[in-house]
Amino acid sequence: MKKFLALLLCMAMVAAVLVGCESAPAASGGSEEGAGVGGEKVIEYCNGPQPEAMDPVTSNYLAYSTVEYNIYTGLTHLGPNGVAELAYADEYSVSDDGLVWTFHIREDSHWSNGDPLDATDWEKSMEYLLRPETNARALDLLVYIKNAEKYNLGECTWDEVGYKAIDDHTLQITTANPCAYFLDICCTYIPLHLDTVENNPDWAKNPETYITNGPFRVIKIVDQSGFYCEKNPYYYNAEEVKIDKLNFNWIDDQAVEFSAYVNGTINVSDNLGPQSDATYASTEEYHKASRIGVRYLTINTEHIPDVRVRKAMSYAVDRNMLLTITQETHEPANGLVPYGIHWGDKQFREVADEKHGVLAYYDIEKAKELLSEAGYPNGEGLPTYTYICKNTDTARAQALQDMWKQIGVNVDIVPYESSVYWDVFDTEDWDIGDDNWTGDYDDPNTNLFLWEEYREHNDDGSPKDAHWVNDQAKEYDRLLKQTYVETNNETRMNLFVQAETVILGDMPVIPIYYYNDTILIKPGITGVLKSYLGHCFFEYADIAS
Amino acid sequence: MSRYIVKRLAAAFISMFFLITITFFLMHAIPGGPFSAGERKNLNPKIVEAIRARYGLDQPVWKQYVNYISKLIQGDMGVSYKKTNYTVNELLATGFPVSGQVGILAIVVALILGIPLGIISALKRGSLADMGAMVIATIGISIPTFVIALLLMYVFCMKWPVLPSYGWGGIKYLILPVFCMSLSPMANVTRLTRSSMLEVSRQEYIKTARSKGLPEGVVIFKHMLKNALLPVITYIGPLVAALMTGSFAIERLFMLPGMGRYFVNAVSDRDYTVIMGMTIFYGAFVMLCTLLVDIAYAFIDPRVRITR
Repeated sequence: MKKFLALLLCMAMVAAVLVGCESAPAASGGSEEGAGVGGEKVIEYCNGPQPEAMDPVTSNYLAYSTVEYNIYTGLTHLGPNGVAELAYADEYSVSDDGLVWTFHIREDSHWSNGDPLDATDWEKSMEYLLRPETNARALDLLVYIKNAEKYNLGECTWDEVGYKAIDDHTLQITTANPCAYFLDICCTYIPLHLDTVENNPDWAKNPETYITNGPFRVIKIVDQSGFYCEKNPYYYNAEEVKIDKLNFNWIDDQAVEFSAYVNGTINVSDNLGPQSDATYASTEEYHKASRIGVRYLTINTEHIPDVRVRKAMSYAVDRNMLLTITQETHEPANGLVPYGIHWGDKQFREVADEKHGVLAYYDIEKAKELLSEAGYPNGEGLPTYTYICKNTDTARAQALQDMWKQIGVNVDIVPYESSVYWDVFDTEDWDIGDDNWTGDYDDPNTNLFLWEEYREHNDDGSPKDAHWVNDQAKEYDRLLKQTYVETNNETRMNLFVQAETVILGDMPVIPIYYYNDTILIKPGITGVLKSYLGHCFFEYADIAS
Repeated sequence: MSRYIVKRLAAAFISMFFLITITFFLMHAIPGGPFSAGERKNLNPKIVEAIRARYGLDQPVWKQYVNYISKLIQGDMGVSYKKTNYTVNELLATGFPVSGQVGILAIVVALILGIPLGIISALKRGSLADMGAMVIATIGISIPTFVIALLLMYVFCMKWPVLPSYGWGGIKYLILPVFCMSLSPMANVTRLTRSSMLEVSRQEYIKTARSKGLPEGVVIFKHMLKNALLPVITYIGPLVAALMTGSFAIERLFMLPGMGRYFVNAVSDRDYTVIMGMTIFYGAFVMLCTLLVDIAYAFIDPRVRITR
């Protein structure tokens, strides 16, 4: 009897467990989807793990943006050559003072479920995103609109915000300042299907309620596995979209993504580790594109007040060697505006380097000279500096530590977990902080605004002591302020050149490298656009049959 | 018996209360939080404040604790701070079936392979078979599962691509993860079975059984194995809980949408509600499995008496 009971209990335990398993979703990874049944053109794309948030309201991170801009399209979007061009707006005009932008919305605009899409949808969507109760995260590019920030903080009514539907097909946007790159910004102004978004808090979990207006639309969502899309037949430019299915596969580990690319489960791999670089770097499947981001070191100018010491530390950094040590495929940085930002038809970087010369480079003799000039020959008399970084960035930190040791500057590396790092950074209780930034639009301002004066103050108005607040900083701020009102492009760009000269002449930051993005694309796939922001667009892609 | 169970359940509730309280305050004591401002350089600090206020993170910790407990009693574990569209209950409901399925299969494989290996090596002690089984067991314990997983992935997904390297769906997606997860428990089961078989075989009653002239098969399976399996059963309780709630390394490598990944990612993301939900679930599950094993133990081994 007891034996029987024991057996029964054991069986009950196993059964209880199996019952729990039966409801397992019968989802599949990418491979079966990617079979390309009946000659379908299928992109199996992977760019690392699933982004935290999967909708445009709560997302604030780059990783989701690649999904977002393949399923949503704004007033403008990036054309096949990566430059912003009109999309849902087919015409626009700007007032003489550069403040009022009038867009004509395409007559044939539709949502991905076939519903008509007009200018009032655009206005209502913007109101929803800016409404304080919505708690939308990605608002940084919406504040170009007049009074948008005020409305978001509950300080004015919607009537005062410069984003209005004049009639069904005319949208008028009033900007806070003249903005030379406003068409780039408009790429991010997308409409939301408010009937579902407002009434169904779970809309983003369900393909039926995830209604969009981009070249692709969602057909299946499997959390933590994939996000599966098909061509949107209601897209205004649907005839030109050649890809039938676009599947986003989530893979946490670079080594696994590599194996999935090798065995063909995915055909576009966007999160490459050293292994992929080593195997594919010399093949035609390997593509490299510059992204408008810079990695730099922020120096606590109160702790290291002597500009000669700061400059010596910059001269001591052999950026090529550093990239070899960390096995990264980026570009050594000699300034703060990265490649990918244009000055007319040319790269801003190249023109600026011609004008002000290269400002940051490796010259160890010069570094030593500057140190002794400052009264610290071979680093004697200097304290040991504290260098903070994320715990994933220690390889670079150690290489830098070694390079500075060559001139007698000693640093202690203090690594932090990434979820704590920026809080520690805010305390300013360090001497050198690892830092980086990727811009949002094709203009030097997208990077140079980081050191404007207003950013160097705490909420109560007191200056942040770690940051840059001396006379050069004021001059820098004056130059940048001029760029906001200057409408002549040549003069404006020259102001940026001057500003860059001022900041690197005082070296409150040490540029390390400009970002490069690398991507693997299987032969036969053409037209994949890797934008200057690092997003991947498949609207223009095609697969040779 | 029923008194014993009631007592155990009461103890479990008290342990659960301490588990929840300690985890809650420890979690808030570690630096960092779910909404760290600096990451987004051009985000207005006022907006960050508004987001924190929406989730009640601007209140003192004790108040957050009271709020949490009162919601928890109603069965609401809150929404994830990071996966903003998901409630913790939803994450558990989707994650556990996946982890559970892989875990239970791994246990079955571990037992099916581990027990016979242990028996063989105990009976043929010192032989080639014994040494072979022990080599397998040592490898299973000493090599980390993610190393084995990457190795298997290299062989079966790249060199000889017969299995998918990641994903979730049919049986073929289960083969590699289940095998990797079963390796270490299998090694432990083999060693446990072997040592307790050896111990049992020295007992007087085995000699008696043999001298009675019983066939060797009956001696082994009826007299030796029945007693030798007791330590294995003790081991299975916590093992079931550990394997069925998912392995972070395996779930991350094979991209299984299970609980293990949520758990570890939640800790590094400071996703407070998910950390709490996963801890509570894991704690309750461990308690349940241990209780079931203890009860089963009492039935199998009459020497263990639970009622006084």
